[in-house]
Amino acid sequence: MNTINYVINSIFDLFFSPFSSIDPIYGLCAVSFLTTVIMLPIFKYTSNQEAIRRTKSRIMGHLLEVRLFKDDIRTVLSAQKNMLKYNMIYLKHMMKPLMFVMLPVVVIIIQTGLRYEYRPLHPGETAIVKVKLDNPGNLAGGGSGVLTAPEGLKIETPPLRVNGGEEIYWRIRAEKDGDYDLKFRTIDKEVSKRVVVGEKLTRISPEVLKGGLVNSFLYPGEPSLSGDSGMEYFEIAYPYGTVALFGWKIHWLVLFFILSLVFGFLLLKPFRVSV
Amino acid sequence: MKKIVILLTLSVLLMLSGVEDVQAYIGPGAGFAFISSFFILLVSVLLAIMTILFWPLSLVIRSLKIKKRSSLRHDTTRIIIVGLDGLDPDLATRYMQEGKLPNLSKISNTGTFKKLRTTLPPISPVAWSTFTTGVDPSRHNIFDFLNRDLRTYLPELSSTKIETGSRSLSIGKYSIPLGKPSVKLLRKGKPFWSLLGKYGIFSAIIRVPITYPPEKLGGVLLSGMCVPDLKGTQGTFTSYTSGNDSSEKKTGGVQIQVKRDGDRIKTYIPGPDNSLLKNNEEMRIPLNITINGGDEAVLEIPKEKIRLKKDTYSPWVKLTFSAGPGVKIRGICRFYIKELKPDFDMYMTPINIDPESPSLPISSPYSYSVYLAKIMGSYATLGLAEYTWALNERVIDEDIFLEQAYDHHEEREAMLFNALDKTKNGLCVCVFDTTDRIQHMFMRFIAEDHPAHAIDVAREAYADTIEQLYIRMDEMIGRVMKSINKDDVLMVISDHGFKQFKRGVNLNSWLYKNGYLALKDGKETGDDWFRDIDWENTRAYTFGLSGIYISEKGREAKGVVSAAEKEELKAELISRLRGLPDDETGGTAIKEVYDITEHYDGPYRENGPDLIIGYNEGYRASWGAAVGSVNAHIFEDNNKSWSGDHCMDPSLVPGVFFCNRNVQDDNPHIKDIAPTVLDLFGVEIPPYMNGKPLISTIKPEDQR
Repeated sequence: MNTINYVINSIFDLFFSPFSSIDPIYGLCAVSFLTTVIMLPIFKYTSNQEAIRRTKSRIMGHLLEVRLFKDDIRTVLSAQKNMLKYNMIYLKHMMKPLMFVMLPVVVIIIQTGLRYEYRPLHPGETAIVKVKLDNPGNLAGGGSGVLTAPEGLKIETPPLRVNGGEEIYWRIRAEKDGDYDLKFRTIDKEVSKRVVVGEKLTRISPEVLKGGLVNSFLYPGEPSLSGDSGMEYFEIAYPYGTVALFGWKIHWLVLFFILSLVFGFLLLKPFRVSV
Repeated sequence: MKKIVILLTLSVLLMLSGVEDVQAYIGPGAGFAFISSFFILLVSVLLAIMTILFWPLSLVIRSLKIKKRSSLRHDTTRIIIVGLDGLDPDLATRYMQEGKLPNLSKISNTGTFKKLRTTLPPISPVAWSTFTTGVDPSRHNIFDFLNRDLRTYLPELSSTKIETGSRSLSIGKYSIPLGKPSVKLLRKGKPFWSLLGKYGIFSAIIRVPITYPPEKLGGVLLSGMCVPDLKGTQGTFTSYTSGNDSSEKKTGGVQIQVKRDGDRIKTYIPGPDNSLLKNNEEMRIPLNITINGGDEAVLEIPKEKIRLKKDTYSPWVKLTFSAGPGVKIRGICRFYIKELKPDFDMYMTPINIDPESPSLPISSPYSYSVYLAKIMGSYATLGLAEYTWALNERVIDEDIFLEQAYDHHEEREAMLFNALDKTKNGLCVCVFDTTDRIQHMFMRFIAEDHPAHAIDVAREAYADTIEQLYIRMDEMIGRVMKSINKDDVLMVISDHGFKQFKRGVNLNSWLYKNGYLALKDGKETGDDWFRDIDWENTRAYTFGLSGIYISEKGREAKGVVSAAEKEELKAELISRLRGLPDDETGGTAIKEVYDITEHYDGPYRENGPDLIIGYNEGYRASWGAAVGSVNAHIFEDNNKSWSGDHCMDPSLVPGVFFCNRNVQDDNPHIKDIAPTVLDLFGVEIPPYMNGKPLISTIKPEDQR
């Protein structure tokens, strides 16, 4: 899975690289457009387009029925019942294509989330580093474990152990731009965690977790922790990323949703898709 | 495939079980599904709330706005009228006696079955207009399908007139009209359903002839006979052939010669003329045809591919013609491949106005045609939807004709039952043309000695077509009877009956031979639409299906007969034409000649023919006479597929009147239907109506 993640990360790194130094909205537009371009054909060829068209037509017909026979309450209520019925049928027709588009879209969203959910630390900013251990006794450095930072990062606080030593906290400070490896060592293992300092749009992985298919799929930013690492996760509390549209700060996923819908509407006709 | 879907579903659901809520969006498809479903849900709930909240209020407002009915007299809440155009009482009686029409027999036994007197002349647009308005032709202004332009003597549709603005803006190759073109209904008088609307009685009116352009009413209306095709004609079919060059214009259609390049054919779909262009060029859609190895071809038009097997109708295909930037004209048509090899031979129906996005309104309200299309799919909108001309010209054969005629019938039947479902109170009228069209085209098969037997078609194969038609209509009436309540009034009517059309009479030829009509330059025959007529020396002429017009001074542009001479001339023509013998067969061609002034006194009498010919059974105006030509012979055999007709003396072709109520009147007339309906609903009958109510609405207890 780590290899697959590596390949997928590299593809998306390449895709986002032209947008790394410009306003993040452009990258989001590009990935929304890409999503639409990939999804519409998948949707088209995995759905029953004729049935979708027919069902939508019926819904519209019953909507017109309400207007045309507005003085007959029985017909109006029956039309509303039929609208709901065909709405359910419409959703049923959506299920199969959604099964097919779900997997690629989830991958795209996770990869986009890696770049937009958080932002890199800026020089001078601090962040909390957290490690959760399997076994608090298995530590080097006088029972607290050793966290070492390369030049460009500074560990500002001694380790703070809570929950019987299972969780350990530090505060680090970013000193200059760079892509760093923060190392945490137990008695016999050393685990690295990538820390990014700078202004550019880049892949941010706030945490590495112990392996497993689901964790590897959902947190693909860095290779998973090995089973014998003695740790459950290694986390850095990055600041949340922001995307602004016309001065309004909007969560990236909301914008992604809106943009992919807008592109979807624009591309429905050229792709000859009914949704 | 199913396994893949299940696996995918499970794996994705498993993965998503650990995903945060915010990541549960799965792309534009899901987005659309979510948004539209939510929107529909929201609209449904809002509408439901609004309906429940405002319905009592709207009821009060409506009751204040509408006129009050006589509460004592109305004795029904719903009236259903099924019009079966041309259903003949003699044939119906015969089939009922043979036990083939159980449902109509039931109505006859428990209610009423009588012959329904028809109009003079007994032609569908005339008779149905009388049905609609309750007045005679001199009051509703429809005397035939065609009327003549008094200035040019050229024919024009009697029911509608399209008027375009005289001013336009010229930009390059475009000439953009300033002002909207308008379609004007020439039928005068008020439909009785408009009167019902004033009393708050809902009406659903489907395909009643001469209801185009649609008029506003208290209910819904889909226009019928005289709705044009996209070209603006009454139905122009197209025939594609790679055989011998015969790119002539067929009556009612065009033939396109195509060139076959291996298995490919490149051709086009001819559309309407582009009125936005200065040269009014015809709009076209490219059509590429690929003939597959087997018995199938792929028809490719922009944005759509249609796989079509030989001997099968395509479904309705949507066509979009581009008149200019952003100006689209939409139509629908069907294709039928008759032959793939060695010659390619394909028939394309007239391009109907697309009911889902009509370029001209064909219903009232406008959205009613859209509603029907959304609910039941595309349907024929052309007024004369059945392709009689294509069969008459032998472009299609009997089987192809019957298939599409019954397809259209099924569309219409679906509309009727939809209307019945939606109209629990009020009036529901639906007219079916199938009965008329099939009888026109198949009457020859129930005659021993029809000249059209010359057409090489096995008589036995279609000997029971008309019988089957009546049986099918009876079954439909049975379904209607099942769907109505015992208090509902059901009427099954026809506008006229049917008889054989064996011999054509060209009265222009008779007028010419008898010195009433003159031809130019010593010619012996005259071309269509009076091209060779010497008007300075012509006193009378005919065109259309039943009238003779006097070329009157001061009325016709080149009229020569004075008002004083006119009466004398009419009397002379009546005496000479009444009982006109057909020397070749020994028969009598004309039963009666009617002077319009003796029969009608309405304000539009002058627009009709001066004399109306009551042809005898078996006779009708010849094909040439109908289009204003002068032939060498007065009489000719009718050897066309169009072998039955009703343009005869009205006494020979009454319609049918079935009703589930008892009717005492022994001689009902089609003009009586409108007052009958008004009276049943307790609505005052306007004094201008010519008919009388047929059903007594005074209950025994009220009489006391």
